[in-house]
Amino acid sequence: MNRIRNSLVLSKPFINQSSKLIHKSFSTTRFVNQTTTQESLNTTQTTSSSSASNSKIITEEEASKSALLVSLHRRLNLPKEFKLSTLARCLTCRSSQGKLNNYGLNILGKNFLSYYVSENLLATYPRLPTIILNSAIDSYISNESLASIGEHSWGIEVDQTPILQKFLREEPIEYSYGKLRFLPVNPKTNEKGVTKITKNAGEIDPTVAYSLSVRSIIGALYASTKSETLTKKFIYDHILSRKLDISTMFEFEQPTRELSRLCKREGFEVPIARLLAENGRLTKKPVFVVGVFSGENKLGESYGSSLKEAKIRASVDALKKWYLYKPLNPKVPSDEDYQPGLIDHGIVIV
Amino acid sequence: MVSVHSSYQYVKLCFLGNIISYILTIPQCKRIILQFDKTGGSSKGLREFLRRRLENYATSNPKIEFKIIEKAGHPVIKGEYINGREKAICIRNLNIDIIQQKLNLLRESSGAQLTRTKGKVTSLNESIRGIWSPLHVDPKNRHKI
Repeated sequence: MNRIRNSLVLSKPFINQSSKLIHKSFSTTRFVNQTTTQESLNTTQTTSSSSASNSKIITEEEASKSALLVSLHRRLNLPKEFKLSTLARCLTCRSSQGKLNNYGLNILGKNFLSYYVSENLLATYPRLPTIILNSAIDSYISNESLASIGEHSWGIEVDQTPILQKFLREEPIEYSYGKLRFLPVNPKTNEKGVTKITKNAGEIDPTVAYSLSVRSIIGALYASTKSETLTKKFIYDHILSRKLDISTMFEFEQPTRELSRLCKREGFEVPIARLLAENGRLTKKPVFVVGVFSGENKLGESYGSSLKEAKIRASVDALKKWYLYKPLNPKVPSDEDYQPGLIDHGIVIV
Repeated sequence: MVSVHSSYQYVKLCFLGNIISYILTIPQCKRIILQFDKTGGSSKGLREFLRRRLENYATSNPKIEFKIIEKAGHPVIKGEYINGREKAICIRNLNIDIIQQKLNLLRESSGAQLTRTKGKVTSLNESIRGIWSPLHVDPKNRHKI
């Protein structure tokens, strides 16, 4: 109920626009047969020439007629300063439009994304090895991840309707402003039985197009609100709120050796593996629980079906606990009350 | 040396979930299509809904796009969801109030196929309590053969 109430409160400034939309949808589907053929012809002309020559400016009035665009704006809870025409521009890729595309905004968004994501990961896990850090950042902001956010979380649609179908449906041109517009890779060739793998200039994959739009929405959020806090909150809400299990990303070549090196470097006592519990040593499936100790302190513990396996697993556990050290209430440099935290010596070199 | 686990591509995929969308109040229903017949008797209720209540209903649900289609036959309402699925309800001979209830049903639905959960708990996070291990019981209380 709270959700509905919230949306009711929020909907007030958009009431006029929404009511316009309803009329628009009526007209699209011949309920009120007001849509003239002239308008449909315009649609065909502009959409058919999806080459670089077409660089029409989408006005705010035109954009507000697109029901899809308005609903997407509301779904993302974007502020009022973020104009609908800007959102339409974010969904227009360079390949489908001349000058007014999302390319510039995408670069701005990319910088914001990589800054806030790497800052957050570095502050949360100060001892993360560079290679793991890079792939963790990549997991959050790679094309595939951003495309999945755009498609499965925000529900952005691709403009795939053929022009003839648009014409027959008497669909106004404004409607497609709410869809992701790009020049897809055309698999057709003149040769029979030959499939094209390489792309022509300007042709892009749907994944790339989705990620371009997601990045540019973030860039445009900053460009239209001039508020770093809002942009940061948006990134934390939509991208960093996702679950990423970094502990599964580690792979160690010689964990026991690496652990003893680490202890030597940090001035701890030499690590010793001790058997904590065992069961069925002489059976087919024995279980050993081994702990790695440095003096009195237990560094890690794990199980295994042989003593050697259990020892290796315990060392891996100890190493992961070291690398995945997480300070309490980590603060990032962009926070107001930031105080410099731990700076790590780097990974252990074996 | 530390290296990235070769199967980490899997990690990229496993952190998807619509829980976040729920927290951010992104409704899973993105479009509702109302299909009616201009003259048919079974569409009487839907026509009344379109005339009297649609404008209010659409303005109070700005995150959803409403689309009206005129087509001969019984009236149908369809919900299109972010996960790519579609739910259709036939609303022939239904009155205006029941139609609104059916619309609410489409609006609140997640779009996922209905399944019996059978009391299973699914989570991306590990259990806080941990799994009970017989090997970690105090040796005094352990079962001896």
